[in-house]
Amino acid sequence: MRLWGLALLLLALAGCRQQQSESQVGFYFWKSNFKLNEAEQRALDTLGVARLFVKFLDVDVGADGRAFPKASVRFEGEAVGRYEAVPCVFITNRTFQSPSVSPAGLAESVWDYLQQINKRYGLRPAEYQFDCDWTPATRGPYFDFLRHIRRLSGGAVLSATIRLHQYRYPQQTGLPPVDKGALMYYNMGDISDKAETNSILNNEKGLPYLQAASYPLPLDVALPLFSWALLYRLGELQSIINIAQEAVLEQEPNLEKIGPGLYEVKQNFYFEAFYLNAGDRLRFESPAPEELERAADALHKIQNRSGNLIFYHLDEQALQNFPPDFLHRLARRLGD
Amino acid sequence: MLAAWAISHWPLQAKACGPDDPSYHFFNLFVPEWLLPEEYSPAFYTANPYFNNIWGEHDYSNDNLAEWQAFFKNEVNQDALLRVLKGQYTETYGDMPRDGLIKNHLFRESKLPPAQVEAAKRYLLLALDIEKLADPYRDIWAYEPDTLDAEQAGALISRIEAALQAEKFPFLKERYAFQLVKSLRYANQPGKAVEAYQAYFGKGDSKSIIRYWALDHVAGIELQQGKAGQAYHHFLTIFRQCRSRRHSAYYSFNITSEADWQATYALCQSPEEKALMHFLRGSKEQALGLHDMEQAFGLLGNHEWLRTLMAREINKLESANFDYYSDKPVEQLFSNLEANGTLLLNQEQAGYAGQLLRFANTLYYNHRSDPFWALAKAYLEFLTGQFNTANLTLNQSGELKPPFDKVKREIALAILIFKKESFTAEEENRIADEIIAIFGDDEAQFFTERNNEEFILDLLAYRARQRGNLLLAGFFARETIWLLKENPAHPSVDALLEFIRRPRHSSLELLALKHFMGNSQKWQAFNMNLAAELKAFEFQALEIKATLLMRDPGKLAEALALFESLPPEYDFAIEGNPFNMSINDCIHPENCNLNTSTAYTRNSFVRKLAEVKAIAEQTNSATDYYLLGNAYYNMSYFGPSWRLMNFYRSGSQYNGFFDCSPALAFFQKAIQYAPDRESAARACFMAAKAEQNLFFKLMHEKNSYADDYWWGKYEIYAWGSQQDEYIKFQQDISNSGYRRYFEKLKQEYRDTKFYQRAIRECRYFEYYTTRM
Repeated sequence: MRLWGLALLLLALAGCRQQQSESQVGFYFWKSNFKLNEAEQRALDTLGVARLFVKFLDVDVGADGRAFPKASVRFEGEAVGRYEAVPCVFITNRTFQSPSVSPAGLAESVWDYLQQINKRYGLRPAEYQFDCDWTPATRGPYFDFLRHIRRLSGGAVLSATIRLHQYRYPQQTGLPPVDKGALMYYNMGDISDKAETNSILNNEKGLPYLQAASYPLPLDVALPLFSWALLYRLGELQSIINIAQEAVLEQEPNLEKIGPGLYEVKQNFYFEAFYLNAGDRLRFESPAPEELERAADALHKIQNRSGNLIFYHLDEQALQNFPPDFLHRLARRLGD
Repeated sequence: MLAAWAISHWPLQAKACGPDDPSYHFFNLFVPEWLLPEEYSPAFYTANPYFNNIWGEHDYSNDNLAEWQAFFKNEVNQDALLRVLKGQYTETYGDMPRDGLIKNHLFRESKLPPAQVEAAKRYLLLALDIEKLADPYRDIWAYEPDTLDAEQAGALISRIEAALQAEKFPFLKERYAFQLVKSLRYANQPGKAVEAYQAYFGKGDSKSIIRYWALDHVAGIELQQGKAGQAYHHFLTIFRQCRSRRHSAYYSFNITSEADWQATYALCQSPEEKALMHFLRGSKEQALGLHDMEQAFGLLGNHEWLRTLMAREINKLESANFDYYSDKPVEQLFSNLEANGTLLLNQEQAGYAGQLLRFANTLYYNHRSDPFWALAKAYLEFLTGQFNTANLTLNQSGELKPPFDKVKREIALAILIFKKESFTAEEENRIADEIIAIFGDDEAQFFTERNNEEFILDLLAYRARQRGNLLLAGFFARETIWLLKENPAHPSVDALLEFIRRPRHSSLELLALKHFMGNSQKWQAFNMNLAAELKAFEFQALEIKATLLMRDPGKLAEALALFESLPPEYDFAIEGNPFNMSINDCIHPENCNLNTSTAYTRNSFVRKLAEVKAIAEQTNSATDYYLLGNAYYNMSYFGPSWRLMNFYRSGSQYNGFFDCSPALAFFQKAIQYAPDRESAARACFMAAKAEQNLFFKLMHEKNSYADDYWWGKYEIYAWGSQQDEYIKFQQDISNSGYRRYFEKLKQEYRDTKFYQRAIRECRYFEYYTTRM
């Protein structure tokens, strides 16, 4: 069934010629082991994807307050060479809260680390993207960090992810010193709230942030394709379980469906490498196609879009959740 | 061996394990360190975000050291051995290269046979080389480790094999075998590594720790080869048999599927092994332990693992509800109690606590002699709001030995405070005695090794607030007299005096007061000398009162009377003469030029101040008003004599007496009655200084950023480099109407000598006259 769906999607995609008015489509690749299976590679080719935004590393702080890299990417095979890889660096906000972290020192470490990866795999990126959900308290050191990266980057394009509140209130939240932004139109709900309905994509919450028609930086736009099940234990968020289809939950005999997308664990059992306890609750969330279309229509009105659409993230199973040609249609809606 | 040591940390034994972070994230009454032995202390619950992984520390690494010491018959230099095995910095050898240590220091003056020394040196030096392959030094910002290539690894392995064949000492032979297994694994030859293990360890029944260290590698290989059951069972064995590899085995025992669980379970030879599987799974981070507790109980009955799991589950509930850093943790608990009849935040937690209680009940009734289960039962009853039942359980538990009795008594104390809004004198006396006894806080420091005392005090503070007794609530909330001294106010000081002067106090009131006043006497000694101690407290409060009265020039006489009523030791000598003026402010007497022939003590100065004030008022003497202005300026936050009206001066924010209104009022009179223009100009300048400080006070009261209108923000030498900000700063003062006396000086006294001096010495005034 899944293969059939993917085949349909690819057939449909193959039948489409990229239109001039379409947004250029890219994908985030957020796993640490970079390996494309045949289906993913075909999907990328059919969609005419030239650029992959690959997470090269996370940066966090340890108990000693010092920053360190983790979850670094490893490339398997030659696939990466076929695309323009944009190294992405996710930095936890608490990294910039640590008094032991100097923005200049961190910039040098991160930049050097990126160059080690580039050298190891023979990459020559033209753009680097940084992802940090900065706050008023960390804005200063994060922006300082970006300025230092700028000095080191020798002319490469620098981009930064922009959250919705940062898009809506640039005066208050500040403008990162980069060449362009990537507006993340997802993760807009409170995942810790067990009463939340869809924290991945909720236009009722997201659209009001788009009241501002423009942003002081050129913007790529990022839309979600991923799904997950949120695990609540004793009334509090415990874990995020990455599953692409709700059917997995529906078919699990140890789970009882208690509402739309809501499941209760009947007895302790292993599920997707997690050990669940009786009484735990799971909430499945995924972006509905019609909501993605609504989002695309609203994002289309942003005046200074760069024309690039990035999907988060590349995953064969996630792609199967959408009708054939759907991603093309989204790209067309966002195009001019 | 050596290599394996390098990845571990030197042991602090159990002290280094478990929640070693002193800043607890939750109030912890069910103290695992009091209730359980140390062996499994790494499994104690902690909510610290950086230490929330149990077995976060490598434990029992002393075991390996002990084996080496036995081999060397304690004949080698201990400090050198530490550095060689561990690679860590030591006091004697610092970070001296270890190969040099092995060759030149380790065996110095040892009486070991030369053959043993040479054999040990050969092994240790080879082990150093193996580190490059198996434990390569890792710069955290290096993408790839600096390790050996395949050819170098092959050569190294050949050396180990040759040494293994040639070695005569069984102790060293085993260690070579371990190094061989490990090196083959890291050289990507897993099959050969398993063969080497089988050849050297598989047939014998060695119980040496090094065998289990080798098995740890084999289990890792099995996991990679998909032999999950076998691998996990080996990790289980290592966890049981080899304390110094528990850390590694615990994390490797990470079953993620029912199939792997069953495969491992099938290999278990005894109920104990199966129970251990449940202990490991139930104690994993993010697991709820009840189901595994039930299973382990069915297999093994009452056991330390069960108790450890139960303590974890209870501590989790504490962590979720007794937040140490919450603004109002105790208020939340009372609110939970009112909303759902338990101390717990939501129905899910209450439900789980109920299930834990049922399990604790089972253990309690089956093991009445085990005090742990009585306490677990009582505490869960307490958490679920069943205070009477909890009390009954505690009463039925009889007399418990320390430290169980401490937990019993703190639970009883907490229940008492939850149940009653107010207490009789007898109850208050008992509460005080219990606080001292349970928490060993004989000096009423209100801060002990753990935070459970703080929890009890917060409960008491809540009750005192409820009764409207804010003073006592502050005492329980660990306020101290220094808070009052920093920013005293008449109502607070009067309330304190009234409290001290009461004819009778309960022990609890005295304990709280003792802490507030900073008294460090032992409780018993304090009580034996109570009348004198209370009198001393009264003097302290009266000194604050008198200091406060001084701030109002109209109450100088009252202040003086109080100061003079204090014992002589309260009086002190004053540096400099507070009647003197200075163009530029100087705060710390030791840095100011305060040369004067006048020597005042506080009492004599206050007396003089009252006299000068009386003369000024009787004669309209400009000089005396000017002196009074100077004195009130100098005694404020902005002057060198601030100690006369303040107990503490912050260097970063306005505090204490920073109101220059009295000084300004005196300077205004000095201008009004000035006998000549020079005197008037001088008083006018000082009035301008006082007026500027009133601007800072206004900004402070408007909650402006302290940095924006900080009195010392612009040093004379610095303002030029911050000119825009400086201009705005000056304009803000002027625009707000706080430059009247600079303007008056500029307009009316331009022709005086003092005007010229002010221009020369005061950059603010120079700026005002030339640019505004």
